[in-house]
Amino acid sequence: MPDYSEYVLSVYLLALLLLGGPAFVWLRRLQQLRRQLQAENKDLP
Amino acid sequence: MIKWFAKVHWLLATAAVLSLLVGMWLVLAAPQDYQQGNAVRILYVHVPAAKMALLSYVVLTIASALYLWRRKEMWDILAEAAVSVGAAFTALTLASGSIWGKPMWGAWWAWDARLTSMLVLLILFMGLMALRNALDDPHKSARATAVLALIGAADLPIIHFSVVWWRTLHQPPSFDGPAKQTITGELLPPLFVMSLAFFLLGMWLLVLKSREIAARRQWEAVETERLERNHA
Amino acid sequence: MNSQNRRWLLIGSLLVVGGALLTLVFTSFTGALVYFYTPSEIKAKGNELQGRKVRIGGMVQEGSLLREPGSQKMRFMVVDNSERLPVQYEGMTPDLFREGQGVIVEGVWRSGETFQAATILAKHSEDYVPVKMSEEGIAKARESMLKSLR
Repeated sequence: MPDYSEYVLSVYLLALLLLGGPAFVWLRRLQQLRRQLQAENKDLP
Repeated sequence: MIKWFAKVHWLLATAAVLSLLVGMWLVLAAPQDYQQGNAVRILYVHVPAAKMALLSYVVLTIASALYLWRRKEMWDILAEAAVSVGAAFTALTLASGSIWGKPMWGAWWAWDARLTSMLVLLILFMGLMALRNALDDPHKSARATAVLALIGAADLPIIHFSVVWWRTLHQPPSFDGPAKQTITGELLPPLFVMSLAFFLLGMWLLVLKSREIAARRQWEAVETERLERNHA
Repeated sequence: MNSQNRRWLLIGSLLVVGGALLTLVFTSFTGALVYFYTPSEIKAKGNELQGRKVRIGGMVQEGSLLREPGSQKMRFMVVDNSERLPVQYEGMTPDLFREGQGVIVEGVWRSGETFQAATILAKHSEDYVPVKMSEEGIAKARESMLKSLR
């Protein structure tokens, strides 16, 4: 039976990219918005 | 609700990461499948991702209905978040399925009922994003996306039952009621843990995206206010 | 984004989403979502399918696969619960293409001639079995494949 490791690895990397990517972007934007709001003396909703 | 989201945010993130670590360990320790060999490990991403894609749309449907009924902004925020999260899980489902299909079926893609209805789900999520962007008035765009989301909910039963109603290339469900369970022995625990991990991850992404949207809207309100002050 | 662009985006997105939904709902009612025929169905309505491109699905009958040495040519039987259909094929096969496992063959139907498959897809059953229990797996896969062909 072929090994299929490359197929498995590419799926897990893709999962990291498609789920971890947005999480990273949203987390950073949330922090940035928090700083911007704090500068206006407002808190996160 | 957004306040409560802020409280569970890190708890959910920690739970998701821990269960993902346990899940990955079980995935690596699982034996090979008698037919698919190592390729069975793709299943542990594909199936949980598909479940979360559908669950995201269920959340979207409920949030949209509640928004149309109660007109509370909170439900619109949750709906917008569910679209983003759902699109990511749907894209992962289609991509992982495709990578499994090439060596196993002998084709990256087939226009069978399950694959086609799942592609329609991705188009729905993308269309909802585009529709929200296309309207200037936030109330109008909230209402329009909620209505379209409710219409699109027709795709959910089609996806779920596609492999039962019609003969497809895609295999039927491995769990069907208490009587049917076709995943044997050590191949089963990784699926359970990865499903739990993806559930926690999906909930965390929903909470995170909702908070980000709420913060963005508040910031936009601050900016509008400032513009009006400058004009006055 | 200016309002002209927004309007086009709106119209475009509604068209795409509406089109996708309509196609799906329409095809679900016309039965076009059935991906393949079984050998029994082919036998029953072979005449009306004459000259048409069809997909036929079933199980590769155990002991029926004959590969011609030195080439990629092969012949095998596709069976369901009651009928069987001889198939010829030349080319690469998917990794899951094996005797006793599911298969979907695609080609032009000509009654009276051996079916010439242009492409072959392996159909996986819903059974996942550790490699050390292969025998149980093979038995289970046969049972669920035949069940799905009813």
